Amino acid sequence: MGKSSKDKRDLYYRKAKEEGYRARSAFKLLQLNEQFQLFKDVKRVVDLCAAPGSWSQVLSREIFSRDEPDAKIVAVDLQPMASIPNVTTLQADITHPKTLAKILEIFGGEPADFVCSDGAPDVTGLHDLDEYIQAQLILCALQLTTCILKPGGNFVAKIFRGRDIDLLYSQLGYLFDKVICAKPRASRGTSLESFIVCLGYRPRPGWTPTLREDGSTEEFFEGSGIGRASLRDDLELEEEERVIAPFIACGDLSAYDSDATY
Amino acid sequence: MTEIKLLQSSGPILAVKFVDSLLLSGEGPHLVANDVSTTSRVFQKLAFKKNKIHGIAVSSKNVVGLWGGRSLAFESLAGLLDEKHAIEELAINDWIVHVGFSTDGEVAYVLTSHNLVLVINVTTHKILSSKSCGEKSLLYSGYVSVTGTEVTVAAGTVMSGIVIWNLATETIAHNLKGHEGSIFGVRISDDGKKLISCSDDRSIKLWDLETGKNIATGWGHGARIWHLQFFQKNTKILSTSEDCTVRVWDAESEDLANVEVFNAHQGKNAWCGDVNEEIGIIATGGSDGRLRIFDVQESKREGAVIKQWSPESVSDATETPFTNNEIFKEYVAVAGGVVCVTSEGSLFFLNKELQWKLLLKDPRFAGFSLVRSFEIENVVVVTSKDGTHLLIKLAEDGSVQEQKSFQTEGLKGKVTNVLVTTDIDTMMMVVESPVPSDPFVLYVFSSGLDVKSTLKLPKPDTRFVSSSLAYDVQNDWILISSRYTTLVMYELSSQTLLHTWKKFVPGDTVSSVRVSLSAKNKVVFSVVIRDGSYYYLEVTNEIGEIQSSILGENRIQKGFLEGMLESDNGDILLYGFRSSQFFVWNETQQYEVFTETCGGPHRQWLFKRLEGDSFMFMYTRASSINVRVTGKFPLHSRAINVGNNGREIRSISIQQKVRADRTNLMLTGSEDTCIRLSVVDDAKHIKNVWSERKHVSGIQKVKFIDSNLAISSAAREELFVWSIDDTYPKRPYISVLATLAPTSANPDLRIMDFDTVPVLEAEKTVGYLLATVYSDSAIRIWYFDLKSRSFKLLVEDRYSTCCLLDAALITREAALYLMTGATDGYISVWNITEILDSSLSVSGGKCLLQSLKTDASTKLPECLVKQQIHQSGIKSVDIRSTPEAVYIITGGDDNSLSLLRLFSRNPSSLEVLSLVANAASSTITSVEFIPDSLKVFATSVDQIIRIWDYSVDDQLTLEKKEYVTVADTGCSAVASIGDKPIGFVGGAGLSVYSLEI
Ligand SMILES: C[S@@+](CC[C@H](N)C(=O)[O-])C[C@H]1O[C@@H](n2cnc3c(N)ncnc32)[C@H](O)[C@@H]1O
Repeated sequence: MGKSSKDKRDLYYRKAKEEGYRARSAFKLLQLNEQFQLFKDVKRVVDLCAAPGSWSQVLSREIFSRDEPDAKIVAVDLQPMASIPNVTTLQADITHPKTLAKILEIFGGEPADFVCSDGAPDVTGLHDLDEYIQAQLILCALQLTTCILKPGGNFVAKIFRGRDIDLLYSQLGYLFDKVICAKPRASRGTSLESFIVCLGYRPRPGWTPTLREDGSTEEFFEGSGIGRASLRDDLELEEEERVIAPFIACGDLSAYDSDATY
Repeated sequence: MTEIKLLQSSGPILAVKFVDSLLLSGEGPHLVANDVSTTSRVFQKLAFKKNKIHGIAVSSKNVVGLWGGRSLAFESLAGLLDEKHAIEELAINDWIVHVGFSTDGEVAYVLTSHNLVLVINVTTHKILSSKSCGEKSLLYSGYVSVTGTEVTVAAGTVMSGIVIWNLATETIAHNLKGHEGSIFGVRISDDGKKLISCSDDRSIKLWDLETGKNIATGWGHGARIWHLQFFQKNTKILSTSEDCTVRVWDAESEDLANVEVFNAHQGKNAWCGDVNEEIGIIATGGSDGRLRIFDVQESKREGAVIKQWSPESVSDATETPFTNNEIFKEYVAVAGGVVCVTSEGSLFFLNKELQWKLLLKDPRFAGFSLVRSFEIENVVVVTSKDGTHLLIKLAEDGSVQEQKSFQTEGLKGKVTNVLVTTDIDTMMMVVESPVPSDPFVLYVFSSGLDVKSTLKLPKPDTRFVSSSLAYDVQNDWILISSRYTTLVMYELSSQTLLHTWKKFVPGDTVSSVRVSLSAKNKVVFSVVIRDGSYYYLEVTNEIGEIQSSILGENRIQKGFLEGMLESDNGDILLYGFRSSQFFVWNETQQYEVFTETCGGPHRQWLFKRLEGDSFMFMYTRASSINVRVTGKFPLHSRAINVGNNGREIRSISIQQKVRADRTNLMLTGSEDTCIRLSVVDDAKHIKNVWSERKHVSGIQKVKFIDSNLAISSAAREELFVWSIDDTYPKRPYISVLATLAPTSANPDLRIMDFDTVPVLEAEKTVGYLLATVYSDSAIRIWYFDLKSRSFKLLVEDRYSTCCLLDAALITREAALYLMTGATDGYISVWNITEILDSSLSVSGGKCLLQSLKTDASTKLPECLVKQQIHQSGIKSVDIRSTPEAVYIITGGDDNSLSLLRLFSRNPSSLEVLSLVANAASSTITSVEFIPDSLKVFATSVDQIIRIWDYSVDDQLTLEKKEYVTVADTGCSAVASIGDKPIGFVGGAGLSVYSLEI
């Protein structure tokens, strides 16, 4: 996300500067909201992998413009973030159970209305590993979501559509009414980046999400019945369920195309 | 019944392991075994349905453990060698980082990415227990070390620390801190005492496992390190990196001295490695799909030499006193060894047993002398500045058999250069002075060292400083090369200057010319330019006058080229210098064969290829003579597998025309900027012929536009027309026919796609109409004229503001159309017949040239059709023209596939016949109509290839799908080669399938 010359000519980059957003990512969230009304009635948000903070800026402007007394935004990232009005920032690794416990603590037992994660790890070039790490990041965000999101609430996470993305679509389908693959116009056409928009959280009957400090994400989801591969005693290979989520392009198609600058 | 069958695949090799006489490698989901000494393939077996093999381990019972993703397998070596035995894929529920075996081989320890170890019975596959130290953070690397009954786990975390814990007690012994960034590799020595680690900070750290202290840190790699290993009794460390180098480090030195650097792989990433201690070799696997073998005990090989002599040591050995400032000057190869002259005119002989002998001392050659040799005849010729020549014939043992002197008379200037023929039986020598009116004096010698004839060749009328020569016996042509990329050719016996090539290519010194091919009235010369490029120059005299053309050309990535030679199997080897090293590079197979750190090109040096793929390199450094002979390479080959680019393949094009030997030509364009010309054989093995480095940006598209022409496009508005000459049986040649000039001074836009239509005049193709689409929405239609090799802009316009992705030219009976697909999901069609009518006409479905008088370009007419088909970018389009209508298949970024029909109802209708919304779970990157069928081949990033049928009511129905191991699946090409259509799928690798439909 460095400021290459490619970025400097990008309209979104310039628009972000004009409107006071710290990153062009802001327009991705704004376009997603345009399509799905994600901010409607939202007061308490967790913004994961938030640095430099443009999504929190968008959320802050939206929520706090409505004069909500109980409003709360918590932004978490490995990198430090400059302060944003009405946002509590936390510098931490979201894959660590301790971090998730801290966020729950900050919310003080109250549920969140919306959880979002714009996380992306550094790509190594080893495709399988990159897909796995990305999935783990989303899984950690999902782990927190199942502990903190109110029933009927929404969850948005950045994804890279690769070989096993349909495993994730299937698993999310067990937890949400609607799972959509959304691509905002602000995302470069040539990149594999898009967002899963999960609408209407439905806690799994018979499963209480329990965050344990010494537990792994696999252990957390055991018993959730969302179709994650289980460890068979005889190591038998289990095929996991796959589902193709519907695709929706968001944002005005006649709007600016970042692919046209280079 | 539709069947998709995998024929060949090439892709990243993520794991290698030596076992007995085999070298095992993980190539995608296949386990491959090569015989170590012959380097031939013993077996290839599918291990996992989808996951790639990331690791291979072997137990004391010769049970091979394989893992990748959450997949696992345990197979005995005997079972693997049994053709009928299939590998049983097992699985756990998380990513496997490493598998270790207990000392007795009964039990396996499977370490997951959450720092959990499953203890599994190797035979029954039952999970005996699950161990954890409580620290369950995400790991990028790890290692299970077994010493006796002690099992220690090293866990490389994402957060910079390495957790060392004991399996039995499940307690943490150390948390090694010091690295910055995620830990990508950890390895414990076989005695359990030391640990080596690497991280995102690109350093290698050596730790003492007893104290937990960091003993040493080594630096050198330019990018992430993936594999680390101890060898030679833990005194050495092997590392492989994203920077494509493989390095050896001294584990006993204070700062982990880097003792060896091998340029191992192409593109990005040397993923894995293993050491065979018995033979003394390292094997590594890379993204380029090949296995590389490196010798770490070269000095022990038969015939290997590493020696150095100072002037004093030679003086002592030969009991010949040297004067104070006497230094070694030139040296040349002869049949029995090397002859060297000193600054005092002493001639020494070094034999194959490395003994020096004084041949003679001749004060006429003190100060300035030029030494050359006729190797086969064992003759040396020494020349002085004033034209005195001494010819010496040597016996095998270096004794002087014959000596003759003579003088070059009649030159106004001093002698500045002498060139000799080096590879044929005639001994010829050319003498040059810098005075332009002095001719080249050419002598032909008898075997008795007498001057048989003296010829005078007049110099060309241009600056000339000779550098090398080549003589073709058949045509009696002699070619002399010079600086200023100038060449001159003579008919020798008549002493006639036939042709001069004045600055015929960019660059300066021509370092070498050789006869590559010779026929009556036709010679192909190889011309090597020191700046780093080389050419095949075809010279003919068929019509009574000399004509020439560039048959093939290329350049190396970095460095200076001194010469070219062909190995026994026809591979082209290039050699030269790169910073402080001398290198030999296999240009055909694209790998480095030999390097020697000698200090750089400005010194005396001598290079020879010896029998059995061994090399001799001799050079003077700091007044000493150094010799290195590699000796017999312990294995049959230094590289196993043909491999591919090492970066993603972005475009594939197959030449439909079948060649005489039933092979086909293939072009591929990659992210690494190279255009590769390969030959696909009957069994669909792909053999690389050329790897062209003309583009400087990642390739967008490459396509054959005719049987001997191709076009490639990339970013920075690069577009080249390539000419392929396939008339020579030895190999096809490729050269740049024309370059499209960019439209701006600082171009950075991508030419995303293009299409062509031949333009005829009197039934012959005289040019092509070329439609190009740009990332900034620009559309340009050119006329490319074959004769003048020039482009004329006929149409220039803009679609809108968004990036265009696809372009197609559609010819109908009497009309021509342009179609585009864009990132906004729209298909647009224009009828361009009228706007082009001053240049060409369309009749009987063909474009005919009218004239090219019009000066200015025009804009496109009103759009005929503009319809949204996809929600986002249309990534791929294919056209099928029938007399009734035009069918279009499109694949989108929105996972959907559409079948459209143009013109069936009326001239401006685009019907959507069938639209499949969730045709893939990710971007569809390539769609093609399968020849001779009503089926479509679709490739998508979800790594699934699908065959769709539309024979029933033009509705797309899925017939067959198949998983493809190629990640970043970006392009494909379907060709009807032989009796079945063949599908080529490219991305991070290349897979070939036969499609039975
Ligand atoms: C594309 S940026 C997010 C941009 C942000 N949404 C905004 O609007 O400014 C991705 C971020 O993910 C963060 N990240 C990656 N892995 C993480 C982890 N395990 N825990 C916390 N943050 C992480 C990175 O530090 C990086 O700042």
